[in-house]
Amino acid sequence: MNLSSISKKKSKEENDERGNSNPYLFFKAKKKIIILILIAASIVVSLISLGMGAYSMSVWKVIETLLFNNDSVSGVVIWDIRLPRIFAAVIVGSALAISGSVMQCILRNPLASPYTLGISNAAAFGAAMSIAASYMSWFNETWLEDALNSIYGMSSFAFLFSMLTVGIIVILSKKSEFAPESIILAGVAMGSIFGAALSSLQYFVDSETLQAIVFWQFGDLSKATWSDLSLVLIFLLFITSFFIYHRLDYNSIEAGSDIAKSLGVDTQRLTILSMLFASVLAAICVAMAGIIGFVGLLGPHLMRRLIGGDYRQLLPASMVMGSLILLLSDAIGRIPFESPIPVGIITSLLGGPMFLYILVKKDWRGRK
Amino acid sequence: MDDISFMVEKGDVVSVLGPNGAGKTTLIKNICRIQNPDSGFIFIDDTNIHNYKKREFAKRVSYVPQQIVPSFMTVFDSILIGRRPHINWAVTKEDEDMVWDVIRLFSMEKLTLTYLNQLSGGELQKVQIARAVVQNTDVIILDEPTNNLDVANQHAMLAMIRSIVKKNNACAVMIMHDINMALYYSDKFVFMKDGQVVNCGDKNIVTPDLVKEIYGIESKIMYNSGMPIVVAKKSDFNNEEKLNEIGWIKKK
Repeated sequence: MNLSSISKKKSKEENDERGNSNPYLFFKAKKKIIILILIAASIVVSLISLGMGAYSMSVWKVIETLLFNNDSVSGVVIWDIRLPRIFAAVIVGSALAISGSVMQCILRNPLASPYTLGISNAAAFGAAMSIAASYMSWFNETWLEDALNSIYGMSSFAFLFSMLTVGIIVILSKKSEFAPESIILAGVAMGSIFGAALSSLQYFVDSETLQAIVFWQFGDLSKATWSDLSLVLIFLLFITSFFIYHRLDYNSIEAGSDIAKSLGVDTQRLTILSMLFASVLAAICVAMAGIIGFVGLLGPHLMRRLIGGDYRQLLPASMVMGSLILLLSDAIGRIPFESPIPVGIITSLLGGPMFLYILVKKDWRGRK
Repeated sequence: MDDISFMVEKGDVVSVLGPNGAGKTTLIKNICRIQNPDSGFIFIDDTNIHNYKKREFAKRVSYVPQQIVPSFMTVFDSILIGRRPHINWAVTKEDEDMVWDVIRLFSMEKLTLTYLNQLSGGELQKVQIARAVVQNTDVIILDEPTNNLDVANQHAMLAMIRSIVKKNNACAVMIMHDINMALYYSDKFVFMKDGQVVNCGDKNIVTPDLVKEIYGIESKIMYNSGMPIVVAKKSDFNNEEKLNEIGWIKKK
């Protein structure tokens, strides 16, 4: 049409005039630099964290071990014990952060995250069921007990119950045509139901099982093995590509659902699929690492403040921020290395006050 | 809503007028496929709008809603969303150049990198309309485009919409409340009441009788250098009698 031809002509004429002083180019470059700085920070924290522990190493020793995989003690410590933990922090952190930011977008609520929607509680209940079934020998089959106590068994149960929650939320909010408020209210209700169910499960099992469930619930990255990680990574890659493919659709939804519809976005389908995928990610993370709070809220919110709400950059940036938060929390938790504090406790302990600080400094819409 | 039928031709600016709750917004949401009609058909170029694919339809019809949702996005990125139907995988230089041009068209250069939640209502309204313009469609549907704008900006905005429509041989359908603004800037008028079209046509259909039928007020039509102006009679808005009848007085 005419407008596009006009624009072509104009832009050619005035390109030289604008040149590099185009403020938007500068703005885009600034966002990229911030993301790169955060990635660099994550790498530095990982290297320091790899050297921390009972067998302490300098950063240079860590790099040397990583580059020249020798079979010395340091090689075993790094490759078999500490590196899976670092990868677990990166994978779980980015998974929780991206599912948080997507949920905040589609539900248009700054408080949406796998935790506020009851998905974590449901997943936790599922995983606890799996542990209980294994410890209490409900089935009298050794292989089944082993399976139930592994990441596969726990993930499947966590997945099953979180899908049940999503299903119920979808059915309940269908009447209101998936209005964000009704989804969130249904989520809060489902969360409290599964919270109660988890408590009653804990009440009825024996003390050994109770200990296993409670310890698992703390949120700990040390349980992760390479095979667990590869399973989660496959899901993370698939679901992240779905989210990133729809990044412009999330931008349009941010402008209002009527505008999104008029721009050709199938908002209902996108809402349901995004909810589903974000829940799957959260459920698998819960199954692998227990309940780790605040990453899904803190990561996206920090990044919105740093680089703005454009989902083209916000999605990858939230993932980087989520990893950095978990890496840092894990490193802090391991400072008392005789008895490391589980990372879930650290994120809630530090994340809560930090979140409050952000809220006090500016309200979430960015006004001073 | 029933018994709605009218035609819009290329190059037309059409105003939809009527009292609150007449079904104006429902009508235009149906045209944009945001809501679906229970029965009846809407055609663009002899093709039923529901036969278009979502993305193809978005290339032909853009929509400016009444409510504005401020978000954590810059003015530039927010206008860029309007290119979404034309973007296959990534935003191209051409898309960004078009956004620049529209920003200059609306004189918003200084606001380019401001976040939407720091803008005033009028500035937000301009961003919304800019987004629809950058969508580059044959049909622009606007729900009260003069919302939140001051008098000078109302004229500037409507004049801009009219120029864009004329230049591109597109058409605009807009809901208007200010009947005189509508008379100034549009070619055709659709008057609605209680979910029905009462009358539609050009300037000549606007008569005191029609205004009485639609809004229920007495008025007369005056002419200012050939332009008709609808003036309401003052006596219609004297509520002293009603206040006395109900006994509403400020309590001391």
